[in-house]
Amino acid sequence: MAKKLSFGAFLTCASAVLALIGLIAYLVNTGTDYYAKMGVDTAVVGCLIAVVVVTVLRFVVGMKGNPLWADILPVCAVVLAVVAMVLLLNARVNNLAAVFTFENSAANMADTTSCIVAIACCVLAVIASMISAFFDITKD
Amino acid sequence: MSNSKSKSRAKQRLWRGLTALTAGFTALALTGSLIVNGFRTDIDKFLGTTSIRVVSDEADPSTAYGYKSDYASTKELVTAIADVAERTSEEGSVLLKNNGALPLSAEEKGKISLLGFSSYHPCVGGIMGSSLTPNIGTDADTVDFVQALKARGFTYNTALADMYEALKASYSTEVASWFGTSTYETITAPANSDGSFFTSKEPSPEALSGVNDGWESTMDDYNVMIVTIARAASENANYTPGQAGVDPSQKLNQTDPLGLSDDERDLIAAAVEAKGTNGGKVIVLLNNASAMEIQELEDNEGIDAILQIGLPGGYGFYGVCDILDGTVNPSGHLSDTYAVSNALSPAAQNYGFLWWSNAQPDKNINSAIVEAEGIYVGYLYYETRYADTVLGQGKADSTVGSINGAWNYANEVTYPFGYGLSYTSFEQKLESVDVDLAAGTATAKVTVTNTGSVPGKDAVQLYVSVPYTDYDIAHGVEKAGIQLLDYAKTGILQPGASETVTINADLQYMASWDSTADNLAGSKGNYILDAGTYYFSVGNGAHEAINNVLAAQGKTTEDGMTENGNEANVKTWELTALDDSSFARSKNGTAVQNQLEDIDVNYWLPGTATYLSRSDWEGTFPKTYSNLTASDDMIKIMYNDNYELQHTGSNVVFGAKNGLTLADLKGVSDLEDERWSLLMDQLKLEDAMIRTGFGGTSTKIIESIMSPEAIQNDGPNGVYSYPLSQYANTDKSSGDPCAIDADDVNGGYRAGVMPLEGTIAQTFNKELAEEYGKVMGNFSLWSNLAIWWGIGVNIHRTPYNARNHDYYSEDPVLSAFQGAATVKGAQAYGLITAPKHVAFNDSEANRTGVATFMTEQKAREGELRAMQSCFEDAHALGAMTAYNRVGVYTDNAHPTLLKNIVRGEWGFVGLMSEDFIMDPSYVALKEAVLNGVTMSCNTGESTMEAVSGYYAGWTVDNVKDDPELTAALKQAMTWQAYALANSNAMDGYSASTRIESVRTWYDNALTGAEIVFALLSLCCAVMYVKSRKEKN
Repeated sequence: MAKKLSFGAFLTCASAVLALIGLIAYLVNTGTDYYAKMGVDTAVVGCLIAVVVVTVLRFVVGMKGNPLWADILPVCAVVLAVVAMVLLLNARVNNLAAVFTFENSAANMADTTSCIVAIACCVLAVIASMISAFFDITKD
Repeated sequence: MSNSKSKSRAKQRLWRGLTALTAGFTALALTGSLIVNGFRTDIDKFLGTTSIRVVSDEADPSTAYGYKSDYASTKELVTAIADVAERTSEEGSVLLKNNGALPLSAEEKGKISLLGFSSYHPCVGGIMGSSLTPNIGTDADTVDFVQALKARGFTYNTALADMYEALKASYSTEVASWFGTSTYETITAPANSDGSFFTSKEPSPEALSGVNDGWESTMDDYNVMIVTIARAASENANYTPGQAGVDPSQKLNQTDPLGLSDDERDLIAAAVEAKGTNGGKVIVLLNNASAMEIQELEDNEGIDAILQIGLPGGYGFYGVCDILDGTVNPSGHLSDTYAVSNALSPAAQNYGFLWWSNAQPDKNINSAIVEAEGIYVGYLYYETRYADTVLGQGKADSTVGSINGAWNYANEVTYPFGYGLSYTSFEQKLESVDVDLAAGTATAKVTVTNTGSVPGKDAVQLYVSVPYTDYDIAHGVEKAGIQLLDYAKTGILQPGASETVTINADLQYMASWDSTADNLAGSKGNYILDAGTYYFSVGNGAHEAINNVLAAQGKTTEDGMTENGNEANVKTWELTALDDSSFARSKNGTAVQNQLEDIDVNYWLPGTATYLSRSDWEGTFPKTYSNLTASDDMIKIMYNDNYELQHTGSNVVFGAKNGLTLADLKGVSDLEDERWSLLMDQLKLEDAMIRTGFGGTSTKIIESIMSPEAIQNDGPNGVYSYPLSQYANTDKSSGDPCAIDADDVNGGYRAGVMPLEGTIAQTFNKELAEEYGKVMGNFSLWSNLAIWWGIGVNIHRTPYNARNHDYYSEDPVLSAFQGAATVKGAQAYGLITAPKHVAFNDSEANRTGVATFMTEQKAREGELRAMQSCFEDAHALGAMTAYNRVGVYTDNAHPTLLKNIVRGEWGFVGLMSEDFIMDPSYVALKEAVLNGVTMSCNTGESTMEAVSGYYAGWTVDNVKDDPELTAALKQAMTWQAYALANSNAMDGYSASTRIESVRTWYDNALTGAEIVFALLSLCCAVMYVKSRKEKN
């Protein structure tokens, strides 16, 4: 009998998608004229990739059962998402301060869009992964 | 699934979820702690906390406080600030036109009608930068125009006020950002983007009638009609010259953003028309920092008076009111030329977003400005070309750059530089000018007599006209027909009274840079004085002065002069042979030579630019240089990696144990004192690398030499970044004579209240500029704010720079002397006062990356002259560099500007910060340090890991064996320490002082959160495992 997906499955998917979008947005951001000079923070990229991998793994494993080791995955996802979010903020806070004040221009604001998307996705990924940790992937 | 299994799994999910949640918060607290350390200073500023404590063992701690305030309380302090600000407005507002309408009578004070929304919402400061934060509930609350009118006993038409209030939505500007929408009720400046434009917001008379169709008749009883026309100023904003700078969707017959729109014209016309029935007066207030195009206002006979009030700050409207009712007599004189059409000036031909054809925005290679006007900025252009039309030379009367037909001064200039009216009349008589070339001075005596009927002050403007010779033409040396050499202000002269003013002018400011001349350094480039006749004169502005000179040369209106000059007010001095020795050395003895050949675009792209020459106005008038193509060599330099680290080994001493602290060098101004080198030997290389890399917002403590944290503050409208109490000492037992009570009513007072720099310049009063410095110096003592980026000395190259409010004038001498006076006043109280932006940041367009090109003569006689005195004479202890490129190098990386001119020729010793540059490659850290920059504006954790992570290659291993860079790092930190040692940042420090870390409440909160969440996480994990076992 096909297992029914729980609310947690959707949240888990959401957190993976949000982390992925956040990752893509961050990489897009690092390619914009204004932010290209800041380079790519490998820790941010690594953490976000890890969030996606861990979350997908959790989803796949969760479809098959609930082994003890698999229950550490949502915890890891949350921690990784939090670390990614904080590192991203840390990497960008000076630039955001500059773009919103001394270096405010339409071009720089446009370049900042992807940065804001990346940060927002990280925040949402953290929230989604935290809530999803209270749910299994499938219904009982 | 059975119920029990289901329940068990639900428990597991709960504990797993809680484990994840608490683990997440644990991670947040842990990473948050790391981040907090990187931004600790800024967090402390924001929260008002402190993370360090300075501890001293002195028996009498008051001995550690060397600087004394002139004031016994914060009430006295803020009252003094307000007083200086008000007097600056009184002396810096310029009466441009007056048919006797001003001053107002006592009766007329009760009949004021305020027209124009800017009467109710004036520009008092910059939209961004030098903006005013109102002080409320203090002993010196700030005021706008309406509040000042009320305070000074004026009565105004409330029906009009209500009408404008009802129209607020129509003139408000909403600026959207990621954090929501900000609403400005003042007029705003266009954004700093290519293609941005000005939008007129003035409600039309029809719009006014839509709210109150009888608004004109309300003025029958309030027939003194004051119309305020404003143009905003702002950092990071930009006006585009001409029609392109005006909102294309508006059909308001506005040809320039600094010209009038039909809505503004119609409003004034309505007031003039109303005057026909109510018998009143029409007075126009110009609320602007950039010169506007107002010929039509001058020509409009219905307008009785025009008063330029600048951006008045927090108290300036008191001064405006005092001028309106004649309590004080206006004595301001324009610091800029008011041209009929700003866009026709030679400088405006190359302004704005002029992109490279091969721009690389991701490398900050964006645009280039060729300042092809050469030295001819502002009146130096208008008056020189005028002189040449009269003298019939240089094809000055050609049509190029003219409003219409042959160039004619009367058609081009509305109000000249230095012009201003008074309620009385003065006669100035140039008694004598004694030139002492050996001493480098010209001593002028000028007798000023009040020939009118009311008391007043007058500005004495000493001008010089230097010879323009065949030698100059052959060697590419340009000479202005007239230039300000120095100035002074009289005291208040009673009717009939006289005062003889003595001006000791510095002759170096009439010397010209000749890039071809031999010099004492054995190379090329020197200051010269040509052989010939030098004409000294005075006048109510540059135009009157040149007319006097022309009169002395036998010219009259028959020759095309606008009016006959006064030959008697001219003194001459003859130089029989070209002098290339008097100024071959700077004041500190450095032999001058060409240092900036590479900032001429022709150096890189030969034959590209033609620079304006008065020898041929027609043939050399600037064309626009856009879409230039940078060569590969230029591009390579613009990638900002122009110094290759050496690994030959360094013997520069770091980390010695000599037992000194910076307090031992307190007040020691001789850098040759052996203790300086002993102290700086104690510095660790890591300290120097971290502090140069992360120098933003404050100088952080360096424990190896016990140098203090000193908080940086922006200006120039005052020390404005923080309220008085933010860093004030509230420990009255500390011995600090400027300690305040924790609940001091002025604790929230912000000192960014001054009229903006243009108004300060228009006072032509050095003593007042010095008083401004003094009250800010006093404020720094009470507020413990020791560094002030407070002296904007870029020049008004064109009126289109929306940031002109942060700078004094189009004239370098006026800029330099007003700036130097303020530096002198502020530093007397230990406030490190920094001129900015060194140099050539005369536009905000693409300011991060714009390549600024010009001749060395223009550089030296323009912007560099505008700041030179601040360093040479006032000995500024701080400096801020610029965003822009100097030629193709970033300002900080230019190989000679900062190192050889600012620190070399001018002898600048002090801290030097970059502007707010975030891009680590554009910071060009190693090149900047080599040039004497002591800190970037970035912030981060005070660790090598953090600074190395930000600046690629900035590691101890890479730097420690580079003899040049290690020496430069130590030198930079020595200069920085020198500035601190000679400032009030050392107040409270003694040889026994030590610094202790203090845990703030947020440190405790974070640690608590880490522990609590970690424990909770652990508990939840245990509970999860337990629930799992229950299942099994």
